[in-house]
Amino acid sequence: MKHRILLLVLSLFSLNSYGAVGQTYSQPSATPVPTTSHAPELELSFDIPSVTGTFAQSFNSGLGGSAVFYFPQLLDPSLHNFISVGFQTFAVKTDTSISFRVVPVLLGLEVRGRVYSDLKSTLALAAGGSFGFLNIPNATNLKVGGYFTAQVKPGLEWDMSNDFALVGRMPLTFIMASTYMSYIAGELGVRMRF
Amino acid sequence: MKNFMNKKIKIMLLNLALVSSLGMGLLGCGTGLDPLTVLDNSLPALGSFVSTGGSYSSYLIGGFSASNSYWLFQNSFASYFSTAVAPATGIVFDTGVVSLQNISGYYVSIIHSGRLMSRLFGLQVPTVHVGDSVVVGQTIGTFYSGSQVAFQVLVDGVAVCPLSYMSAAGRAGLTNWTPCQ
Repeated sequence: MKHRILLLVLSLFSLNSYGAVGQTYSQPSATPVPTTSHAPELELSFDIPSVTGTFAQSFNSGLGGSAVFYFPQLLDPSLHNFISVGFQTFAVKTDTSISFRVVPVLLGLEVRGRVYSDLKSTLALAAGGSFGFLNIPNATNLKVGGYFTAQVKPGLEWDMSNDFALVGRMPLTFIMASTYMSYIAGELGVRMRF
Repeated sequence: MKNFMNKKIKIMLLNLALVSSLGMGLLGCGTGLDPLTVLDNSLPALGSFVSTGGSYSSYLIGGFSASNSYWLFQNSFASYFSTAVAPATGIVFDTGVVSLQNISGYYVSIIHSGRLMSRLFGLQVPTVHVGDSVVVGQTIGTFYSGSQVAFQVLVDGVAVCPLSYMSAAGRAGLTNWTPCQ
């Protein structure tokens, strides 16, 4: 008899436990777990850049893209460290068969804050270098430049799950050498956690 | 723990310095001009396209008009229209055999900014190649004696009358004719 009562109590406890677990899994998106994980993340985006300032009339917008790798936090866990490699293409108005390509390689920090439910805001600051390539059809010599580069990148992200998010950003990039150029881009992409 | 964090901070700063120097270290590499010093929004003044300067008037056949997108000259005197030069600093964009009526030989196109390009028609084999950087006054070829020669200016890819884009020196020879109609 004692054994039966013990088994009954255990089974009730088990049911209660599974029920509680089941309840948690049934509504994961309502209360997402804060993302303080140190797991690395990869973000892939495509960009539509637009040149601002004194170079604005020299270029037509082309397409671009970027790959951002968030590596495990080195400093404060709420600051996400990342390295990004971008690729932006602009057509030169002198003749649209000429293109100018910018490849920024940047290191940066990003903070994330919750806006509503699974929607978060992000703000990143990054610095590094850019390569600039002037591509002229049939040219025997490719024109290359190197520039110091800084970037401010506000954005929004929507967590689809703990490992996958849609991101939309608007990075403003400054490239500086003997002269100065800046461009702002509309960026859409996905971020995956390993 | 503190030493460990300091080491991580040092590694991160070192990485940042390395990536920054990656770009700056390449400054000026390649051949000639840095693209950003050429591709700005400016419309630099164009000088003469012949080495000897002087008056173009005696050689004029036609000015710029709706039906004529260039200035056309008769190069009767080889000693005058002999050497073709770059009218402004830029990068050679295109060379080839001309397809304009009554003009034989080659042409050379030079981009002077992100918006401005000049073209010279009626040359012997050019002495420059696509992608070369040229400075104002640099020889780009030799005209054929007795052939016709044309000079064209394009802004944002559209042919315009060259007059508005020429320097005082470039305009010096524009006398006794109507360059734009």
